[in-house]
Amino acid sequence: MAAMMLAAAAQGQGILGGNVTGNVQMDAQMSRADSTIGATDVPEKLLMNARADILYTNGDFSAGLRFEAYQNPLLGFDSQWQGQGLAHYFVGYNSKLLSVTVGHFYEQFGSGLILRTYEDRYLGLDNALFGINVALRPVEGVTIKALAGKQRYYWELGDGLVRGVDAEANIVQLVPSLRESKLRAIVGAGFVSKYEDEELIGSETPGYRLKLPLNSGAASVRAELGWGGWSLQGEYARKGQDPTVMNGYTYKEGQVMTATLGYSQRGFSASVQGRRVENMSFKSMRTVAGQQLYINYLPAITRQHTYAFMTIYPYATNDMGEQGLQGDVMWKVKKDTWLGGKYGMDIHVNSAIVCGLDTTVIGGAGSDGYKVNGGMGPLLFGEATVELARKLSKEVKLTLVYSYQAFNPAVEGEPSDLFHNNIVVADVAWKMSKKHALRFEAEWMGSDSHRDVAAGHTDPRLGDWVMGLVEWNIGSKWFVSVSDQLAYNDGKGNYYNVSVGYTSGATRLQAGYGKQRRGMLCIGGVCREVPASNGLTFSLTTSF
Amino acid sequence: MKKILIGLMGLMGIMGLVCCDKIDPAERLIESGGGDSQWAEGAVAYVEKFTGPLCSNCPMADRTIENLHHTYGERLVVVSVTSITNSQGNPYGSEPTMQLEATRVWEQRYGALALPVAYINRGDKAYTSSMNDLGGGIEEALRTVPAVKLTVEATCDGSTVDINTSAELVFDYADPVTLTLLITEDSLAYTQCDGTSVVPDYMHNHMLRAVVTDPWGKSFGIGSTEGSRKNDHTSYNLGALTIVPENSHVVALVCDAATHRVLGCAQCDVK
Repeated sequence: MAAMMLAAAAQGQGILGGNVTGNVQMDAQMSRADSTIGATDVPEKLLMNARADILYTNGDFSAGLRFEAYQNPLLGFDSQWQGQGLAHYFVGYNSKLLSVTVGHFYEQFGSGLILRTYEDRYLGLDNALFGINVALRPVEGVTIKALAGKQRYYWELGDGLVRGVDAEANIVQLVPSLRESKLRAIVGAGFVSKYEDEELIGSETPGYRLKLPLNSGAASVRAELGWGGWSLQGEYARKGQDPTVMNGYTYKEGQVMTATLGYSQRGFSASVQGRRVENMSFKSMRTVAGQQLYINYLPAITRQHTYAFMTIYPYATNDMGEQGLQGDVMWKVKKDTWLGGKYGMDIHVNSAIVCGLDTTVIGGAGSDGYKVNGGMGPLLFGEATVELARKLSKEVKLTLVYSYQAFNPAVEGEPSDLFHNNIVVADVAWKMSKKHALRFEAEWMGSDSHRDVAAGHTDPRLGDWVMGLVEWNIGSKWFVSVSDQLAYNDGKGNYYNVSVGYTSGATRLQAGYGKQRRGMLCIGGVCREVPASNGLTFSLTTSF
Repeated sequence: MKKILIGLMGLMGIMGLVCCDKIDPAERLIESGGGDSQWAEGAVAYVEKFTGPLCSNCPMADRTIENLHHTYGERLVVVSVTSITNSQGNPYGSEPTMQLEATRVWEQRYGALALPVAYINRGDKAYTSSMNDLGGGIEEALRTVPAVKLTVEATCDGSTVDINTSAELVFDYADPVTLTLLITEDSLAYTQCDGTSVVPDYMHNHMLRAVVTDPWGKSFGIGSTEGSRKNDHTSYNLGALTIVPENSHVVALVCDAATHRVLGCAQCDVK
């Protein structure tokens, strides 16, 4: 709050002649015990995550800070977040030739296969580097980056030292004769290394410990080519020996290859993407499991869904080994055609399949872990989704979705066979008047997961589900929504929610009451467990 | 431009060669070394491990812990707690549960548990998955002089376990402390998920069977100055609990009453 007032004062008075912007977010939660869903009492009664970001810019100069408070952390957030203080601060200079940032910073090389530091407040994830980051642009079209630092680990810094260098060249900008052509060509390469001190890691042989590589590196090469509506992107990365808790302290080298072919024109786009991953978990502390301290990032190879039942069994990137393929087609059917009708229609078809690797285990800690054979491993996740969106009249828009998902519970450590889920969604948006709009959403999921109930499994997601939601928007300020998810066919649970929101300018207030099912929240293939809860939630966001 | 690119490629090449270690398979194992003399007198590392029958990675941690027993012997005391808040602690089908309601407060102290997870002397650091890094934490604990030197003896007549504990303050300690007594049992065979397979008669060791005192222990007025001593006698009626005495142990913990950090630990066989 003090930071807000300071920032507001600085802005109001034009202190230092610069520009101050920022945002504040507070999320609070109250939950009480509910044996029907497995929710337990919260001894503190009220939990809260809060943060305020302040950014000051003045010409080429910028500086920022972020205050965070977890008093105490919301359910599902690691208890190591507990505390409050200045979590993030930096000073930067940015000119045409040079950018320099000292302090905390986020950076990405290519698509992130060897380095991506980022934060996601909803996942409770922040792997910012604290150190120095330099970007040099010696000529137009060429960017060279170099960085060194340690990663944020809750309220401390991880032990590992991360160093990296990356270069990217836009060939079309470099070669004047190509500038007028339809060609797009960008090439790049990067290298990242981490250093960690020696420590005692036991082996599978009593009385012996592991000799560890203190420096582990990863390198990548990438290219992005385009011609007219066509585009082709590819990146290959390789990682040296890196025994960590994530790979059972095995010494096998890692690699990942990804390629995307796409085509787009007005009203139509299509793409196909393939990826193969082998042992590519790259963290700056070898003993830390979980989602913190990742140096690299493997983007999801499946579509990011928004409808509730399509995210019940989410895909999570398996950085230890997987191979996948995704196809995506979007077609905007013109209006006044047979298919498009009076207002046109959006068709979106997406399909993805992700399998494990076909491997043979050759040993545990201290060995190379496993040998990769030529075939396909078990199916981890598969889906096919068709989405149709069409205006029925000036006031009413209908969206229909059908999705088939196959989910392997072994991904989450549950010993079971594949779940096959069929999901249907109908979403109707009705603009009743200039001030009032209603949205109705109905979802159904049929699943063969109910067979695990008989086997003694207690995953609250098991069974078939049906859901209804009504959302009423009043002007641009108020909204009220009511929803209920109900399990049947051996499933258990009735998860109702009511929420009210108010928006004024850049400020939004929201309050809700209801039940939350225990499950997984995944964003971009990165997941965190969400525990069951039953109670009130409050949220405030504002920016200035 | 050409010079910059060549220079950059050279820099990346140098980094690639210098900033990457490669260890040949023949050189990956080195002797743990040392011996009992390197540890602090009376130091015992207490490992509180949370596990569950439906936890597929837990057997991997079990194997690591059994290896550590070879290295540290009686200086390592392990208690395997079947999680009551994580559904992976639930038993298979109709098998009897190993969950104890008393441990709920322990789990709540550590927050949401992803199994397996272990803590040494009830410290903050979580050891997860295969727990190969547990050895480093155990050694650190064994180098630390414990505040309390403990001995414990236990006998069982079939229905009651009699436990005698003796404690001595190794150095001045002013804060209140508690005494916690636990009964564990080895060689319990019941179904366990192991990786992607299910093992019907998996052998479970160090399993927590009973919390004799309150979960956070009972008040233990040992005094506050170096050399202060206190003895305790506790009788515990097993009630409906069935244990095999020759496979069972009693674990005694003296902990800080406020932080619950372990100040001294001892384990004995039940006779």
